[in-house]
Amino acid sequence: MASDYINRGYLSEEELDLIPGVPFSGKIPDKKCAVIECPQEIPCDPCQSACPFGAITLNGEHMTCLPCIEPEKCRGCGNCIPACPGMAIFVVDPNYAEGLCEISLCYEFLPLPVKGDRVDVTDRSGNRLCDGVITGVRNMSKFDRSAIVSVACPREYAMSARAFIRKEL
Amino acid sequence: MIDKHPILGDRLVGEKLTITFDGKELEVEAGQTVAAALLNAGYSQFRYTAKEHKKRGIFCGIGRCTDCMMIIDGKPNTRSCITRVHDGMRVETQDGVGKWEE
Amino acid sequence: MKRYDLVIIGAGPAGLAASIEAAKRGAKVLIVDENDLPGGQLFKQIHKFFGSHEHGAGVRGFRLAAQFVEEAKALGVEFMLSAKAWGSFTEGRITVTRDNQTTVVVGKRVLVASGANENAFAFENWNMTGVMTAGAVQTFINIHRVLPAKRVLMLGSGNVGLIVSYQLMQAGAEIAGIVEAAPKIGGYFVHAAKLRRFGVPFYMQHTIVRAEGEDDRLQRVVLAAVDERFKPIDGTEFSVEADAVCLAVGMTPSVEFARTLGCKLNFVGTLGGAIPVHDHNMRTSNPLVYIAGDVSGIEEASTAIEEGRIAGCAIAGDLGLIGREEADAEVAAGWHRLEQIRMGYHGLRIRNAKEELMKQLEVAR
Repeated sequence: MASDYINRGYLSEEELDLIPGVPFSGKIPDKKCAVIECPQEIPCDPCQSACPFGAITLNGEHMTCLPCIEPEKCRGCGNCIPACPGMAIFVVDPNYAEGLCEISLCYEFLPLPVKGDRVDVTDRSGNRLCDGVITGVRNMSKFDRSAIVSVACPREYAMSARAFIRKEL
Repeated sequence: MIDKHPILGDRLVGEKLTITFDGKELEVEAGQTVAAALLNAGYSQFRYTAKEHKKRGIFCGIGRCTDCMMIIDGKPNTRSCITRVHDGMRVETQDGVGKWEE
Repeated sequence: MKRYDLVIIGAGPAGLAASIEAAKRGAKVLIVDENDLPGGQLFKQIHKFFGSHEHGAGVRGFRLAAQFVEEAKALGVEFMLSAKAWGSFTEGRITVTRDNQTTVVVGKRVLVASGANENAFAFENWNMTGVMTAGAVQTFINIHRVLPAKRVLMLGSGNVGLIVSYQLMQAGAEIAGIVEAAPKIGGYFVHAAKLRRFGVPFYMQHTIVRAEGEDDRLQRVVLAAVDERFKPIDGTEFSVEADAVCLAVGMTPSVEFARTLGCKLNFVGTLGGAIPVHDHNMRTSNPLVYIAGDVSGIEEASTAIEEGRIAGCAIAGDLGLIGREEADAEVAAGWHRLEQIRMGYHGLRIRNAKEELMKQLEVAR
C-alpha cells in the first residue's frame, strides 16, 4: 500500500500524508508554503541548497534521504521550484484571495502562458478539476528555462491542483 | 522543423542547400543529416528490404542499426542518419543491398 | 603513426571525463569517435540531472556536454572524428578508418568508452516505418530539431521512456500512452508524475501485440493486457492511433571493440549484458585496456562521468604521470562519489552487480 504510487505514477491523498516534504499532513496549509512531493529515495539533493531560509533539509545524512519542509521557515519564495530536477515541488498559497488559492509550479512547455490566461486545472492524474487563471510567470535566467508559473483556482483544490492545460483558443 | 523550443531556444537556421531525392529537388539546410532533411520534408521511407521488398526508414537514428541505408552520391549502404547534406548531393532510395555506380 | 599516452574510443561523457582527468595530469590524449561531433549522447539530454552539486545536479545534460568538450580542447586533447576504430592487430595499436583512409594510432593505454546500443522488441510488424527506438526520436527532436511523428506510443516506462515522452511533449508531439508489461513503473516516480498530471495514459501490465498501417507505414497499434508471465491475454486487445512507436526497452553495452582488444567478458543481467570484467581502476583483463561508461554496465550519464574520471586518474597513475598514492587517492575519491549516486532502490542493485563483477577479475588474477 505504501508504494502503490509507483504502480500508478501519481500520489494518492493517503500517500501524501506520509511524505516528509508535504507539510500539514497533506491537508490544506494555513500559510503559503512549499510542498515537496518527493516520495522515493533517489540520489538527489539540489532542493536543500536552493532554499535561502534553510526550510528544506534531507531527513538523514545521505543524498537519497527524502527532503523535509519546515513550514514555519518557508516564505514561499519558490526558489526550490526550478531547482528540483524532478519538478516535484509546488508552492501553495491557500489565502491568495477570497475563496482562492494559488499554486506555483514548474512549467517547461511553449507557448508560456501570460498573466490573465484562463486554463483548465488538472490533478495529479491529469483529470480536469476546475477553471484557473494564470497569476504570474517568472522565467529568470538562473532557472535555466524552467519557468515558474502561478495559477489561481478555488481554495478547495489547494492540495489536489498540480498542473494546467492551456485552453484551445 | 522545431523552430522554437522551451529548453533549447530558437533554432539556428543553416545555409540553404539543394539536394536531389530520387531526382526531385529538395531545399535543405547545411548541417542537417540526410535523414533529418528527408523527415522534415515529409519522407520517412528510405529503402526496400532485399527479400520481402518492404519499406524501411529510421530505427536507431545514431548509425548503429543500418535500417536507414540509402544510395548517397552513388554510394550504396550509406547511413542517412549520420551523413550530413552538402549542396548538390544525390540521395536515392536503396533497393535491396543497392548497386555501386559503374 | 601518431603516438599517444592514451587513446580513448568514444567521445561521450565517460570518454570526455577520462580525457580531462588524464590530460590535466600531463597525458597526451587522443579521442576517436565515429560521429562528426564529440559529446556522444549527452547533447540530447536536455533535462536537469539528479545527484548532488559535485555530480552536476540540476544542470541540463547538453550544457555539461558543452563544458566537457570545451575543457578537453583547452587541455590539448586531440579529437579524431568521423573515424571508426575497428581493429587492433598488435598490442596498443588501433586501426582507424576515416574518409576511406585507414591509419594506425598508438596508445600506451587504451580506454574503451564505446557506450551502448538500444534494445529492440519484436511484435507483429515491428519493423514497419514509424517504429523507432526512443533514442532515435530523442536525437531527431533535440539535436536535429525535426519532429518525426505527431502522436507517439512509448513502449517501456523506464527513465528513458519517461524522459523521452516528456521531451516529445516539449517538442510539440502528443503522447498516445506509455505501455509497460510490469505492474510497476520502471523509472523514477517523479518522471512519471510529470507526465501523469498532464493526462498521459499509462497502460500498465500491457504489451504491444501488433502494428498496423498501409504501405509499411504505422497508423495504429494493437495492445493487450498481459498475465504475470507477460503473455498477452486473449480477448483484451484494443487499438490506439499513433504514427510512431518508440521502443524504450533497455540497452546493451557495446562491447565489440573491448572484445577485439581481448578483454574477458562476463554476462551480468542487471548491467545489461556481457560486460568486460574490470577492477576498481576500471582496468580490464587486458592490463593495457580500461573501460568506462555504459560499456561497463548500463547506467546514467552521471555515473559514466564518474567512471571516466576514475579511469583517467588511474591511467595517469599507471603511466607514472602521478605517484601511485596520489592515483589511488583520486580513484578512491571517485568511488566515493559513485557510491553516493549508486544508492536508492535502483542504484544499490547496480552497485552489488558491479562489486560481483570486480571480484571475478580479482579472482582470475
